[in-house]
Amino acid sequence: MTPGTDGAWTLRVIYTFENSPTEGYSPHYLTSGPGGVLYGTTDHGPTTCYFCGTIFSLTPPADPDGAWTEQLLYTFETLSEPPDALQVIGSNGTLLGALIGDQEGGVVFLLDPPAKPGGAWSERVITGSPAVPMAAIR
Amino acid sequence: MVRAGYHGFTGGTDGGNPMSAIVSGGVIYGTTYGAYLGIPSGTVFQIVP
Repeated sequence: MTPGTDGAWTLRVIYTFENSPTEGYSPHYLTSGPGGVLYGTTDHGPTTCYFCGTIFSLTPPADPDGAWTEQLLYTFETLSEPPDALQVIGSNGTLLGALIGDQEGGVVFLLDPPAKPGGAWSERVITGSPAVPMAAIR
Repeated sequence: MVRAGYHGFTGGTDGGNPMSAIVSGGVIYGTTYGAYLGIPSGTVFQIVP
């Protein structure tokens, strides 16, 4: 990548987390999916669940100058660490992720989109291992 | 080649410490961690060449 013809790079904040009850905060990892949708992880959950990690999506606006739309997709309420890696796999938008975990080892998980719009995403833990291959997933 | 200094994060509205970045569609997207229990509590940003 190179800067524009004037040598300048332009930074724009497209979403700001505000530590609210309806979203996580402290975003960490990002990955991109179909349609330019960004998927990401947060290290903390909503204000009611500080130690929970979350997965969120950011959908780009139709107008390039418009606002991106954030949606909290999933809150990890039973896993003790936030997710450390995330990728979109498959044509249905299933997300593959991993977290380092605690003394019991790391976890590789799948997050499946709802069958109908507006439904809940569902988590599947596919393996627990002390040697989760983060680099392969990132 | 990596060159530092394309943008200096100030910790104000830009959210402070950058945590990760990806390239998608020729645009850099990244995250900042934000302030502890503060606002902003992290941001997602894009850098357009």
